Amino acid sequence: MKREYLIILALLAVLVAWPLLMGNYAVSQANRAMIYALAALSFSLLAGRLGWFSLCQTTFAGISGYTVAILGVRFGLPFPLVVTLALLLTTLSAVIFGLLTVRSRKVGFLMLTLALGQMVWALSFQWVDVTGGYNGIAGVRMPVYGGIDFNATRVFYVLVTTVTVAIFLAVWRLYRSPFGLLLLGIQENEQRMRALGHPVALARFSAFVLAGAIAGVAGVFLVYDMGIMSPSPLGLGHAVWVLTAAVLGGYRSLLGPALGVAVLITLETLVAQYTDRHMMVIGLVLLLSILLMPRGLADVLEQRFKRKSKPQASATTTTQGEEP
Amino acid sequence: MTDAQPEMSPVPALEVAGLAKSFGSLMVASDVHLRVTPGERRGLIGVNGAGKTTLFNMIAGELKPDRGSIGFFGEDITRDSVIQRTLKGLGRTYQVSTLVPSVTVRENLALARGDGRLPSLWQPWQSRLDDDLMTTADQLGLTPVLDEAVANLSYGTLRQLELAMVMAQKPRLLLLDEPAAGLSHAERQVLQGILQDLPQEVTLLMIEHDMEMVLALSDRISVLHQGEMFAEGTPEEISAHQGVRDIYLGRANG
Repeated sequence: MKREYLIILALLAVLVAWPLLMGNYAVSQANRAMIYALAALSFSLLAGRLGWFSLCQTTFAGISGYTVAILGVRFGLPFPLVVTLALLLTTLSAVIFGLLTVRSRKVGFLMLTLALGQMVWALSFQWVDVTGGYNGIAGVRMPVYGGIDFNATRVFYVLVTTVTVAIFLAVWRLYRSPFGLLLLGIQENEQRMRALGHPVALARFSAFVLAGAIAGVAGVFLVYDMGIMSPSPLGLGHAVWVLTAAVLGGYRSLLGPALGVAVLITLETLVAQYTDRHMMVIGLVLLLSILLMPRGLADVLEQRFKRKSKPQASATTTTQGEEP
Repeated sequence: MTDAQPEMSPVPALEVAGLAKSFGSLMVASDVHLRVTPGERRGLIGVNGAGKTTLFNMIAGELKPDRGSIGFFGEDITRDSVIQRTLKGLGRTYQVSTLVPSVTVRENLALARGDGRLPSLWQPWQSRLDDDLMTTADQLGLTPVLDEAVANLSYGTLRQLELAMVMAQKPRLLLLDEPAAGLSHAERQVLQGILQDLPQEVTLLMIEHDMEMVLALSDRISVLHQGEMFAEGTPEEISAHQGVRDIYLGRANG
């Protein structure tokens, strides 16, 4: 209990110290990491609680990003309105996707989210009039308020960090709520949850929409971070990248997805400095970590901490098999 | 209401009429009739494959009958969903109870008493554990294992938890699917005591193979055979029933 708060305080300290101690490049990498941590959190909320492996969380980020780009650049709408509309439209897409996927399970869900994601991705480069096709929409800029330029890396960092931390804390709360518990219950024993009088379909649907909205926030930050919106963030590669980060870090825990993203981005940055074959190295590292830590980095760290503080706590071990 | 004249048959707690179900060419229920009065303890027996669990699944709404109707305290619930039936006061336990294995007994208890609405996204889950729930858990002997993961529970304790979860719902009709299966003799004694102590207003319909327990607990016993009601009567009548002895007791006692 207390240890949990200590970890959170330590993390917050690192996040505060980072822009004060590190160079511009490291801060901008941190921005990118935070954005993908949100996307991975969105993925993990569904994967960890419901056993639903989604390939369309980056699609929601993409829908959000395109809305920002189109409304902000093409129509020149003011920043608060652009962001509000982007999040509304993303949530609406999540509602529609959610209605289509709510009855599906495991592989069916994976395939449906793959299909939906690929459809939106295709739309993003084929609907040239609106999206600008492969060229995308350039010139997406944060506003300047009261002399503060939000495009500046460190200012942007403060904004992204604040929102990301707030969302992680909210999801932390959600994981410990009866709703969070119900999602776990649905994953492990759906029939029983129904017989206990819980609205199973509604709970699933709500989680899906919520996860979509979180991905929408990631999308808003992503497009302002890149300054341009193009089809590539909607591609399967990004969806799989997020999945990889979440699995590497441990999608069952709250901080696992953030940890996975941080490790993956660090790896990519470091290894690319030394060799062109960095993908081979990263692949090897992934292979080993999945083999040695099937439940993710966060779980390994958690077990290590636990062994030190208490002989054995029973709550976190699962009897369910590992799902792909 | 009906309480003025006890001799008149009151609105039944459960009225199953002409229920039929087949899986392909396999007829698992053909024209099943069952009438259970409020407050009654009814045993439901029959050899394996007689269609007992199928009947339970239809009463609980997990299986749609091909024909027939199910009345619950005078209300037709044939078309209601599982959740609707639960909210109306129908509770059931399962033959193979698993609940949510990866979390603790306490967390499972917090999942009891669904009300058909989305639970809070913001309150801690512990807020759902009130005195009432913890008393039920204590009566069923769960206090020592509250922080144990359900996956680590012994079979007997798991059944107690299962029962606590469904009791917490305060059901008007409780369907118990082989509550004593797999329990040790001592655990059976405890379970029997618990069932005997159930509030009188709870109607009980129980599938059970332990004849000693069925005979001790039931006001009346129904015998299901090959998808049909074969006999019904008091424990004495059923024990003496030659046909029942032939198909069930004879075989059960070797």
